[in-house]
Amino acid sequence: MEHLLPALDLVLNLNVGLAILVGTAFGIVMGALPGLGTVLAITIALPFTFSMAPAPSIALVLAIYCSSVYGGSISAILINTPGTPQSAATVLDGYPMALRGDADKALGWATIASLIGGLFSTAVLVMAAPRLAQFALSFGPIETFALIALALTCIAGVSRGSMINGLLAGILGLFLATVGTDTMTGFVRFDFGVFDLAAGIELVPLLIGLFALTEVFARLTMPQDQTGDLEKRIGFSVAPLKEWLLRWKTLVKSCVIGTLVGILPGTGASTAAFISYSEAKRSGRYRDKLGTGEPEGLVASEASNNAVTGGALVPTLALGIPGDPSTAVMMSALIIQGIQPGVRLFADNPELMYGSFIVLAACNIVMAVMGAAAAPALTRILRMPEPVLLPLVLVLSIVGAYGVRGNPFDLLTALVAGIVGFFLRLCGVPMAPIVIGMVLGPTFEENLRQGLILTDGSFLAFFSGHPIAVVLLGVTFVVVVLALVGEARRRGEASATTAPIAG
Amino acid sequence: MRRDRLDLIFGAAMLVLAGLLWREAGALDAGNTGFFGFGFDPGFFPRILLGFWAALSLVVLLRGLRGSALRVQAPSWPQLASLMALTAGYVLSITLIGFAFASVAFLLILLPVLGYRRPLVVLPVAVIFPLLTWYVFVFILQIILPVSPWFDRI
Amino acid sequence: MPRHTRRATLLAGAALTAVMTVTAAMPAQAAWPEKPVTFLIPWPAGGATDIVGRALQPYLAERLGTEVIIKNVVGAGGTIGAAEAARAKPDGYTLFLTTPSVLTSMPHMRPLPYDPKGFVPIGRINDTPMVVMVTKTSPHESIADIVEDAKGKPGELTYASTGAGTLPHITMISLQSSADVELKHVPFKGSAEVMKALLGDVVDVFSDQAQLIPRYDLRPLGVWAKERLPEFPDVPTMKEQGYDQAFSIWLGLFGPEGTPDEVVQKMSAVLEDTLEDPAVVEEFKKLQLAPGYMNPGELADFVESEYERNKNLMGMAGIKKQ
Repeated sequence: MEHLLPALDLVLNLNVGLAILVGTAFGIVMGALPGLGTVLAITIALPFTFSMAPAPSIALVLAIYCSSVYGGSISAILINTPGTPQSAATVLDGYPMALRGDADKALGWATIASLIGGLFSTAVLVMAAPRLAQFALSFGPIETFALIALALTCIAGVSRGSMINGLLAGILGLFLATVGTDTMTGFVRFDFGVFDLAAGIELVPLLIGLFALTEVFARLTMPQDQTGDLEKRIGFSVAPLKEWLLRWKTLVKSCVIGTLVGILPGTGASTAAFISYSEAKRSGRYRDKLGTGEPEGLVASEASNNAVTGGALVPTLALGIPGDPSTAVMMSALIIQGIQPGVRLFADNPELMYGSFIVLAACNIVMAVMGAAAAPALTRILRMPEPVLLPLVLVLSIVGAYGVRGNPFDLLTALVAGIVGFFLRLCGVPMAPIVIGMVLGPTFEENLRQGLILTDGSFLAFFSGHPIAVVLLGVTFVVVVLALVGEARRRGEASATTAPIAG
Repeated sequence: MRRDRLDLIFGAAMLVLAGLLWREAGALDAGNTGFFGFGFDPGFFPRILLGFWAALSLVVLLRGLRGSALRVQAPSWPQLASLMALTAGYVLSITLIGFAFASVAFLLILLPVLGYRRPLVVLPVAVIFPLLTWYVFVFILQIILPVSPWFDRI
Repeated sequence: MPRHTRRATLLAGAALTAVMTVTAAMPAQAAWPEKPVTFLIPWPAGGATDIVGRALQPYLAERLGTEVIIKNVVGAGGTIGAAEAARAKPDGYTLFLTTPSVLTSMPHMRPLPYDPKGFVPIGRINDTPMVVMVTKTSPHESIADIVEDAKGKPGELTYASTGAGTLPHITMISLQSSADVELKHVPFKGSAEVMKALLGDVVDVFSDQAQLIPRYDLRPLGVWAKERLPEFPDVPTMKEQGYDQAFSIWLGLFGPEGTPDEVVQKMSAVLEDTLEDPAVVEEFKKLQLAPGYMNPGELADFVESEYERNKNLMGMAGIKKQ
């Protein structure tokens, strides 16, 4: 800790403070706008960092990073559209709360959970980055494959209604991820002669189609139950401590899951949120109410996805190996400053590193304050008449789908996903598993095939000499069996006369 | 709508789709290019997925055949058709006349179609919102949006 | 220098530049550029290519006297962007800033909707040699060690690449065919994934850009260049070790087919001038890039020779068009 004072000296200045404020505000907006998101937000800020000193430019990028992950939850709650893929699990309980008129509370839960998750992972990053980074290295292709297999079991956790439909949706997501160029062989798969498909199906437009478009279609063409007459509270309200204590286990678990998933390769914040969510669904105090607007679901997803931020910085800073596109862009920002992330970073730039950790903690706090301050204005949009609000959501979603990579083909992706997704919803297929499959698919396949190359094609060899993988695959097996047993038991009890439409 | 009918349609459609995709996946045999000396061909993983896909579709189909009295809320079909058609038209028109003009036109049509006809609200909303969005994207975020054939930036 | 004199010099300089610009532009139908120029980059924002583009952006804009806009059109190993660049109107307002693979190696792998030889070369920007590298704890101290080891147990030693047909793959094909050995190829998504596998002892050898070596504390074994690198004076070139090939990652600026010659000449001159700007040189040093300007003619020959060589090497590895 002898670096603490010089580090404080480095970051306690006007420029750094300004960078945090501007970065946080910008990050929240970019996260909340459907489609845009962390990577794009940092990229837009990159050119400005060229002419800035290292400390403020790192502060700017860190602020954008954590606040954009948080920002995604705002649109997830208010308009059923995860502003970023990281917030896909937030939709599951956040939006039902908003529909119920509790948008103020939902934002309160999400904001505080994000803050706690972010601070927790920052603390882990400060205390254990180099050692944890070595742990990340012990995950080769076979271990990563096993990890993702375990992560995929959360499909069962988020499949409301029917497990079979949820699994089918998950397979569909995994399959959609195989469309396009196979990075390993350079082969183009399932392009059906359409050249644009060679680039694969982009996640964000798909997400916008599946969530935003289907919701707009459903709201405008299916008579809703009572929502119109409900009082829609605006503002920002944090639940009393007692309510939080009732859900403390989920909160702690989600912080740990988020941080770990952030450190380990190949998964990312959206997966962390889904894993935490399905863990809450399995063991949370209010597990039976999850999915109907229960704050525990929000806590699980938001604490977890913001905990990823600190976790993901572990391998990025300590090894120079970014785990996902967001941290990859952040690493570019460091390289532009002439700072080389990697094994020597902590030894070469201790002040700057500890300074960044202080900044990261500050960013999380500023983020929560700004979120609370903006909530009254944001929740006000829910008071707009539906025939005005929903078309505007449509326009904003479409422009977001295009903005990600500037390819008109993505507009088509969003449109098709919206139309097909609507009919899937009608058939009782949940949307979340499709996203999980899409997110995990490429890493899952790549690591499976790499593992098979290393073992000369023998899957059985995965079980010898890879203790971590054996444990993870064992847990996966148990989770799957338990889920199937639970489903069979529920089937015995089911006796409703009308099935609600899945979301 | 009856739930079991939907299951029948959904299960059958997914099963047919799995069959069609299987043919495509079978053609993905890197063996005939022979450059991938080690490991599995690009069709390997998709074929596994399609196996699961077909099996699950079959379960859905059987569930539908077994019948059930569950009912699912149906949308208003004419409304749905017109909304989807309008959205599709909007997406297409963006590529033809640019984001800004297409969005203004879309909102000017959609709001009244949805039953909101107060011109004092419709007009400003439909014009100001897309233009503001366009301005923010193009000038502040520097994200280039599709442009019309008539101007450089809009 | 007294203040007023400096201002006078500046004014004179500005006037001179203005006059020169006008004369240079005289033969053209109008002075290009009279509106913003878009640089299309086929890789994601924040990626290695994109960073170079954005680093050059303000300097080029200043010299061109117009805005420079960067547009990232990504996907399918850069070919989506290349296709869009090829379709662009050849009026000089859409230029294509790219790594070589979409022009020199992807065309040998699958049919593409653009003609890789159709692009009009404007200038090469940098030239970063490839280096064969292993970890510091590796038992291999030289290329000869690897070759010998691989001869003893064919197909057991592994090398990583960033995908079939990428430069890390092609360079290792070249090494294997010259040394007549066989290593196991494990392709990864990108160099970050490779670094994790290399540091985690999942793979043995990797061949990629030199700047990875200090960042990940690796051991360089051989430089794919004609001369040793100033950063690693002790590391022999591959030629010294008996493999006479040079491979480098470079960025080039191209125009779509039919881009007018005036535009090419002016842009090329602006590019050359920009790359000599001390501020840009400093920027490149931070990014650990070696400047390597080439004029349009040189670049055309260079692209052609790389195209043919990759075709041979990939044919040798059995890579055929899909």
